[in-house]
Amino acid sequence: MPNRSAIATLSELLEESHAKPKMRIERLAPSAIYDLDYRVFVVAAAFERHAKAAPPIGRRIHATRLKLLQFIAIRPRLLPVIKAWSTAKPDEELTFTTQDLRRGFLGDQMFDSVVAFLVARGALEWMDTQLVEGKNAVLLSAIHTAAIDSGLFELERQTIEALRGIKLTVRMLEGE
Amino acid sequence: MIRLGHIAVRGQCTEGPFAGTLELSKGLQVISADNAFGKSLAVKSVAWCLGVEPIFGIFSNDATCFPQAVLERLQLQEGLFSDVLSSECEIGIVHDDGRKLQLTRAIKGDTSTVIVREEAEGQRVRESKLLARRETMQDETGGLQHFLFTWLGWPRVKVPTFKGTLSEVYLENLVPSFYIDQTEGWTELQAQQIGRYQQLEIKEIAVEYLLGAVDAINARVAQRQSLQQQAAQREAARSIAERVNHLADWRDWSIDWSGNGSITDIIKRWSAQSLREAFKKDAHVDLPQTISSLSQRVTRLRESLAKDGVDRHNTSAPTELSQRAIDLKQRRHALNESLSTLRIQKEQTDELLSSLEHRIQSASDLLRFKNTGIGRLDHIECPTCHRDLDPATFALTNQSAQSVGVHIESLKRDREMMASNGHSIDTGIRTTRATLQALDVELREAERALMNVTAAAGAEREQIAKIVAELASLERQIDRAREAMAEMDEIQADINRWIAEAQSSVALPTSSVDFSQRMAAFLDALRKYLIELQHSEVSASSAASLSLDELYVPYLDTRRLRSLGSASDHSRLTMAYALGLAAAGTRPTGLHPGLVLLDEPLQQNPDPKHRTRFMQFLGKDLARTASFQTIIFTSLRTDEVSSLRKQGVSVQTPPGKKWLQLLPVPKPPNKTPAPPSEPQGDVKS
Amino acid sequence: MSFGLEYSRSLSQLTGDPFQEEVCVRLGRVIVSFQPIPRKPHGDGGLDGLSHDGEHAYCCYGPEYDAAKKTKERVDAIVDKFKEDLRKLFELDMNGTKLVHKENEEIATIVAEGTTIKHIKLIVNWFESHRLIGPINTALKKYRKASACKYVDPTASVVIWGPTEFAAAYVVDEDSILRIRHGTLFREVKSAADTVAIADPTTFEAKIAALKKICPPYKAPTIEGMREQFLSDWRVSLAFEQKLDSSIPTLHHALEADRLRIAQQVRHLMISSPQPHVELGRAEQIAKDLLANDFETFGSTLLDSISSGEVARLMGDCLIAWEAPANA
Repeated sequence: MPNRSAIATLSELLEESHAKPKMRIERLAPSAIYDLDYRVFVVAAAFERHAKAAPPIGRRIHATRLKLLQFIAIRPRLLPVIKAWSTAKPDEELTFTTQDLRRGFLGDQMFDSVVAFLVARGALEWMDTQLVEGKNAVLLSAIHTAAIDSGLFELERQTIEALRGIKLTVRMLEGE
Repeated sequence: MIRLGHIAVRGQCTEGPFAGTLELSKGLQVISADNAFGKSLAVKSVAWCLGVEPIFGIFSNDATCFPQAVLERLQLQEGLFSDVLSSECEIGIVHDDGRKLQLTRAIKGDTSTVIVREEAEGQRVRESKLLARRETMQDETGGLQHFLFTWLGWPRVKVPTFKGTLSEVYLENLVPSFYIDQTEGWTELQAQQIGRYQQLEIKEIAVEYLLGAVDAINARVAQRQSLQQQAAQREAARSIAERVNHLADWRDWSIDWSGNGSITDIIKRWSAQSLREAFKKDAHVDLPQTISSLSQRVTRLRESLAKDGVDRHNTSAPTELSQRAIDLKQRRHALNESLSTLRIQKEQTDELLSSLEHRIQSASDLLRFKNTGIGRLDHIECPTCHRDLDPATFALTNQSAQSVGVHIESLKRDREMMASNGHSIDTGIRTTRATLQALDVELREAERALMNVTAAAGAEREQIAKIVAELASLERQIDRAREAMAEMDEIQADINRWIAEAQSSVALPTSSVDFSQRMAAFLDALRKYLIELQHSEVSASSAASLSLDELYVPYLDTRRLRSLGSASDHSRLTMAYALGLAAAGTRPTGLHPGLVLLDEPLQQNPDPKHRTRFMQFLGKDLARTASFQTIIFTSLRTDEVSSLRKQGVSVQTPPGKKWLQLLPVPKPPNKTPAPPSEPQGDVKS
Repeated sequence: MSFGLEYSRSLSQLTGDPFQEEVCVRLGRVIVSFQPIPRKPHGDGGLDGLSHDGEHAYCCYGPEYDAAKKTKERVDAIVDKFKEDLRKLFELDMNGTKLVHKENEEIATIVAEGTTIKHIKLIVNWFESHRLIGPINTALKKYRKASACKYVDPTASVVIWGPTEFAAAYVVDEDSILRIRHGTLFREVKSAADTVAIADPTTFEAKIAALKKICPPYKAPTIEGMREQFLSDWRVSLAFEQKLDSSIPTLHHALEADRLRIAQQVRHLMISSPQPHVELGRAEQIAKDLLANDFETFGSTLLDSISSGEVARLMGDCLIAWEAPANA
């Protein structure tokens, strides 16, 4: 006979006690990692620290690289995983967790939406597979600076800095 | 009581010697001069000579509280400056009993010492050099404060600090009650009280000291110490409880022995049953009984070994021992697997916890980010068509601060649950390790026994070897039980000691009638001064509602007086408090020095009504006929000076634009100026 | 700037729990007999701290700064909160416009027998309008009249302290300045080190304790078993969610949306049913039906596990609540 579920037990106990159950929806809120302000900051910080100067068009970064960087920045626990991935030999089979990581960052649709938003805002522009500084690129640097000045998002910034010491290969970004 | 007899500053500049002197008399006097005359220099000199410069928030012996005029460049006349080579200040103090003191301290020079010159009738003048600050209280021969407290006949009192140590009450703790500095002294009652000595309740203690309520201070200190002692005792109880639980965890015994709750609760609980009784009841562990039954088994086995024969046909010994070893190994294997699982769970829990911590931090930062509005993309519009860009168009959401807050609460609940889970896993790992350790010992014994038995030749020897092995095992169990009992008894002895100490905490002294009378006198004086100073909220009819709370903060009904009235009323309150404290503290057995120095009360709010009320107050009996000395440094108009003098108020208007003047003929420093009996005459402005 | 001024300014920036925590930590440092009142298991009875053998009571309120709020709105919010705290202490409640007796069970477990509170300090992070005082004093007069004054002396004094008054009341030392300057860092370090005693109390445990109170004693083992099961499912849910977030973030996002839908659906069914507990009992099935859209491909076993995990989250995050019967 299958075990009764905990919620069924609770329901029965409340009925026997004549207590009236309620559901307090106001105690539910989405995760902050889906907040626009937060994601814009992370993209801005990753861009500021990893984009390379490419005159005359301004700084630029490979879009997939930025996607991976911001993905890790939001999840610092994945730093060891990406380090292991970065040092793996070409013919070495990826571990389960690095496979997860790859699937994870490539499937990060919210990043795509944020980039579309920033492009519409003029902060970034597309140039083939690269994202370059747009007319309003100063918005990104302003957000980044403001957060540093206020001592916010320290862990994300530290992670982004740590990623500067990890080589992200083409194989990691684009696969076989 | 004492009073200030004079204040002087002198020194050498490249143009020659310079000096400025103010002669002071008893009772109320006003020193009126224009701004930049040097009034504040005179005021600072008093604090400097007394060695209480920490009230300005500066380091000991640091003369930076003084203006440039005595440190670097002296302005001689308009546009003419002279470099200061050396400078010093001096104050003269006159005691009611006729003794006199002169304190001289360098401003530019060696600031660490104060030259003290004592004069008493019938005795020769004594001059000594004392340390202004370092070990000023502890040094019986060389410390200035030690000397001053003795000279003034003030008791030395020790009070507790935040760190749990004791600290003296220093002069700089008392001075903010009667020395109201222009810069910060008017912002709050005892605004310049020292915080960095970390003395507990020092504001209240300063008031009690000046009122002479030393018994009240001692009672306060005793109560503090008692409470601190209780806090230490509670900590000791928790530590003992931890040892008990550790003892239980290592042997996988379950016991409920808590060190939480009030001292009384703990005494009651721990006195109700001994540790042995508790283990017997909760964990069914009776060590004496265990040792006794093990010992009986040992005795029986020895007897059987010595007296009884062995069954030559009984060949079960090796099999039994072998089976026992196998059982133990299986148990060990299961425990090792369990431990391995726990370790993995612990790792996963720690990782989750770390992730939750990060999420909480990020969400908290995001909340601040949103609340302060920094970095927000304002007025989002399309750069091409300039229509507003809605994030929803991109399937994005901007969460509200409230939503982020709710999310943070949810994360915290998750964290709490995971932390609790981690705690349980830790306990599980500990007990499993302890069980494994005990099991390893048993297994070694079993294997040794098996080895001995299999090495024995013949059934008889096998049986003997088995009995011997069993004996050895029993004896080791007895040893372990004895060890546990010894540990339990040791902890019990500590518990007994703790209970005895906790029970012997002394009863606390209560406030005396004397203290109540002193406070009543202070409150009464405060009411009078507030009325005479025309505080807008305190009148003759409402003054009865004025009270002092347990921190000696004035309240009118249920409202803090400082929060009532206008901005001018703040300075009135500060003044009334200082004067009221002096009035009550200079009664017999009070310890107030009998001196109140007020620097620029009018500058705190120069509106005409405030000036008028202040002038009116100075003319009143309460101000003019106070038994203590009140020195007010301010800037009055000529008509105000005349008006006050007509009312019999002593007003000095020192000559010249600057207090410090070049001396016409170089002469030795004026060591013992005779105090004038009349105030100085007017200088037409 | 003097320590006192800096402290009062920094204190005025704190809100909510951080404000209350700082006030309680500071009071604990300057008053040895100060006892903070935790909110578990059933709330703090309207009190945030006691001292002087229970004769001095402290209530804190640090509303968040909202630039859009006018002064009057802010004053009203503070007045309402403190009136609520005072009513709890006086064991009163509003029935329409009338004050009625409402027993405060929690305060009986906090204030020692025979002790009455004689001084109440209402500590708030903003006190720039004297208009706070009048309404509170007016309410106080009414409460004194209507209350049996079991825990509060009828002549008890009530004072309001803002950050300036609080900073001025006790000498501000360097530790206080350091603590408030690094407030956030301090709080996070403390809570990270102190893994069990977290600022927000164990509301899930409080719910279990509350359930034990309203159920007969012989149900305790059943409740314990249910508790263990919820905790286990909750842990599994957290671990799964983290895995999903790293490997399939789109599904993680979907899971969050599904969580809301589950709660809304269960609530809707509960509201519209004469037997709400029956609908609550079906929460797992409801969850399974809703989650199937996104997680069917994971297989039925994993789907069951995800569903029970989500329901456990509803319980752990205290979305599921209940009103005890009147005679409980």
